[in-house]
Amino acid sequence: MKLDRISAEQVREKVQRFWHAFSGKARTEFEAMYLPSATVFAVDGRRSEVARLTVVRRARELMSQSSSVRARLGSIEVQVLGPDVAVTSYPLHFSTVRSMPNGRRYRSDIPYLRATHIFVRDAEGQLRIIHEHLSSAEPVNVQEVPQ
Amino acid sequence: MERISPEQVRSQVQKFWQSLSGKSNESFDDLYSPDATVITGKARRAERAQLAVARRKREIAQTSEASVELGPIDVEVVGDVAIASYTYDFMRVRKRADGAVRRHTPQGRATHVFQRDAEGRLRIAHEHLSSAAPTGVQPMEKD
Repeated sequence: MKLDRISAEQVREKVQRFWHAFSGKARTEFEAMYLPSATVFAVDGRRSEVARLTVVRRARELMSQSSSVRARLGSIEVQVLGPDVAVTSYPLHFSTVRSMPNGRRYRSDIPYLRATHIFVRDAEGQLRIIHEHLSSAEPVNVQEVPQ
Repeated sequence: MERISPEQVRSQVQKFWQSLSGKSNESFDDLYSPDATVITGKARRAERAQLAVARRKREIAQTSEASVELGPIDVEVVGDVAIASYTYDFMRVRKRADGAVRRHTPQGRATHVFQRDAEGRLRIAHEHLSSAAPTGVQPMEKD
């Protein structure tokens, strides 16, 4: 089956769905956005990790009932590098309330988050993330939420 | 054309850091594709690589000392595109009119996306450099 070249619009829609699934705590959809071999540089991670681990941690800390995720996306730049690969880079305002296993909650507000998502087309023709790099342009301020 | 090998990609990554450290005669511009984008430093969004290259050339011209240590370079190849992700520790001393300044990025994280150009050379199509810890900037004591 010959598939059309990836379009910038398809990629932007995927990015929107990614953040919609994340903020809507739709774990199954969120997890399916990544290829099994995908790697992630989280905002505060010292090294990259396999996306499976990132998803487990985000599900535990950011997708529980007492957690929250908000993302306001800026303009999404798309570079289609081949029939099956596209790179997106964009700024966003990212706010979270993180719930830790000990019951404590932490609020962080990152007004200048920068995101790189690299998408590839899988065997079924679906665009999935193969690599993610998130970073903040400024030091991140984290505050404990009073109980 | 031959499939891109992880060794080729790692070699390009080394070239990038040699250039950034001022230890290579290779033109910095040749490392990037014309439409490349870059996220680095305190920039709030991606910028055209040409802008970053122009700024870095000025910085390299002022560099009196630089060292870099790269972590293991993870490489994923998808057709004519390769993604390199790795950590780095970068230190540079720049001479400025108001004295020398030492800048140290101890927990750098890098993503480099390479694409083969029409001549078969690997060029950077996208770059994202960031740090898990604040970059240390300190003036050097004068002799």
